[in-house]
Amino acid sequence: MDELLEQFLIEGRELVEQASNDLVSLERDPADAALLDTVFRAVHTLKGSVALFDFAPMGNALHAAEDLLGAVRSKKVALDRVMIDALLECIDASERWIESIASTGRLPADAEHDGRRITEALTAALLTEGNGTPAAAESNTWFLDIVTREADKLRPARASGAPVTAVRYAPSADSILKGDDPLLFVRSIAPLLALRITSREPWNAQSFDPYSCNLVIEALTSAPIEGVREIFRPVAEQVTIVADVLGGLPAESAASDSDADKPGDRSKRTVRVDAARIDALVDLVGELIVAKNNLGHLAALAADSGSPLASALANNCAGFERLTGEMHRTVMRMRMIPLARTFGRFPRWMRETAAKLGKEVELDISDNGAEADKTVVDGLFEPLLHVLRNAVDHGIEDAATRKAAGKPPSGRITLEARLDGDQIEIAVGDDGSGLDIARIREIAKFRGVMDAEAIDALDDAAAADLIFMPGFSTASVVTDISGRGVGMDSVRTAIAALGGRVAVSSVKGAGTTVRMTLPQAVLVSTVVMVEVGEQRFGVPIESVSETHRLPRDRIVPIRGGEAFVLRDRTLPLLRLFNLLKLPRVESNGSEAKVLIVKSGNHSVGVEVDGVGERLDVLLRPMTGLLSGMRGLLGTALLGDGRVLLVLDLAELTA
Amino acid sequence: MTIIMDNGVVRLQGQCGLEDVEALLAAVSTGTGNVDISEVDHLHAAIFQILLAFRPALLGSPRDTFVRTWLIPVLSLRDASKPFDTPPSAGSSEQ
Repeated sequence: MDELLEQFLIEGRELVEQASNDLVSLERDPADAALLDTVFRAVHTLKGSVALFDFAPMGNALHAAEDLLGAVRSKKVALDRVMIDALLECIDASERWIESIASTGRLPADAEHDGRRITEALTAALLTEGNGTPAAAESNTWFLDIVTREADKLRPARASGAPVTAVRYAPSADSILKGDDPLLFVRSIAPLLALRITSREPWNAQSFDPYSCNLVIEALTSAPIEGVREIFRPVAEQVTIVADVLGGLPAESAASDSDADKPGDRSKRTVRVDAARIDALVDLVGELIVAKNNLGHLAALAADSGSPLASALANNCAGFERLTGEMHRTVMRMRMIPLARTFGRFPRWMRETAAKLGKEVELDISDNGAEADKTVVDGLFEPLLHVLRNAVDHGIEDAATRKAAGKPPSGRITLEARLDGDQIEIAVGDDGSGLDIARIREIAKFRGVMDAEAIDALDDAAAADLIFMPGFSTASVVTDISGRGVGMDSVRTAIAALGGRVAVSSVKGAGTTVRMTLPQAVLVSTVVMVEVGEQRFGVPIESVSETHRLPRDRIVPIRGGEAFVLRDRTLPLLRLFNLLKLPRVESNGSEAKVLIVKSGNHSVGVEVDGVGERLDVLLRPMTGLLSGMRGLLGTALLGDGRVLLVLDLAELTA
Repeated sequence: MTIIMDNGVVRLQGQCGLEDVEALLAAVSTGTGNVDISEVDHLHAAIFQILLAFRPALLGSPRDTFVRTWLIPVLSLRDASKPFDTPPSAGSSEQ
């Protein structure tokens, strides 16, 4: 693909996203001049980029959007909902068009029609607010361009505070034949501050007619508006006059429209790199780590054989390990992107969803500047969307119910992220009705999620956790928003696939909070090799609190299960082949090899057939079809090229 | 007479109005005419748009303040409006 176009697509997507987010925020706080500025700049820049290519409908629509924003910015009109809707529609269409350009290289077939409709809607939005005829509205914002371009010449007027009047004179084509000399009118303007003369139609060599006036004249003057009107009285219908054009413009930003294009505007210097190249680098580093593990293996062999090289090799190995570790961390930092990237997509969605449900909801987002690996940030979108959807649909009550409960009519949903060490903690809270624990128990029994007795035995917190069980969904009414047959179990699965955990807490009548804890990055993990029969699996070292050799005669059968006593505590004993649903392996030997694993607040023993060495591996989350598999954290490539499945014992034993 | 042909140079003088349109157009549309504007007092819009469309080389600085300060800078602006890429043939301009 053409490099220029490629750049346009990257930048275009960012600008569209930014404009969309800022517009939604702007609706909440229309007085925020800084937000308005960023939207304006985003649209302005996007329009400028589009102009480099032959995408006229897109350019026109964005131009109309810029005009509208310009008018708002100069306080000629007040931003209202109709305008926001029209602007959002323009941004939506731009997003569609950009994707179409990305895949086909051109705008979709309906772009011309859509573009015209959007342009008209934007103009109409400006009109409904504006106070004039269509002609007046159409030319409501033209002066921004000349004011911006001629900022230098306006400086004295700006400094003195003198009102500046703008005149746009588009002489009719036959004005020369009728005996007018348009430039004579202009000559009469005094004092003239700025003058622009352009052509209405592009000059055409074949059809050039000196007697057909093709000029468009724009002028700025500090003369009083009455005087200007007087000059143009004979051609009043061809002239638009706007008084005090500097009035609403903030002193500096209005004049420095081009600031956004200046280099050095960004506080950090950045280089755009294709994500695929970074991924390739990550893979290479991963292989380097594997190579390092091999070297460690060799060093151990050398030590065993009493080779004179052994200690030198071991030293080298340690240095190599340190370097690869550092390199890995650095590369992983390159993949860090702000969580805001994903969070930023929600305000817009929330606005539409709440409107669809007829609820008033405020979404409060604070990402605290947290960053995480690209996989994590991208992977968070679906589960968060699901949780937010539940919050607005099931959590937040309708206005009447809220009022009866003594709550403000507008519901409040918070989405907060913070960094805790190398873990990202995300909390989605609402001030809605809270979970109905009794009802959850009922449904769980009805759906057979667990044994009725077991469900009754759960305390309230554990019962709330049932919503994450497969096959559970509290939606008694299937709505357009929720209840599409995917429950919160998909959230738990998705978060687990990212190496994270999710939990829910709720206070009846006061709201629900869903908390997610995820690793900030896909990390190098230390795993312990364990054996089941012929198979080997990895278990993250942090999930094993100790390994234990248990004499078989100390294993006590209890109610269909088994248990053993460890330091005066009775722990259940589970067999790994059972947990993994593998063929039964006959235990032999007088001692069982047991991993003591923390599961929730309890410890359990997991019997394995063998415990092997510890390894540093690059853990890759499961992808595709495998991503939904319970009990698997991911895979790792071993020194000998085999793939190791890394188990999530906490999930397996939960 | 406010337009004088002088050895390949078109000299505009005084109030340049509609009566000069044909002569100026003929001169500049061949692409060879340089235009001396130092003695101009006013440019009629019809004259001005010929200069804007064909962008002949301009010689001298007009004695009139309005023309010098406001109109000539427009003619030297590259992006004010796109002139023809190539001069039109003499035939097409014989209107």
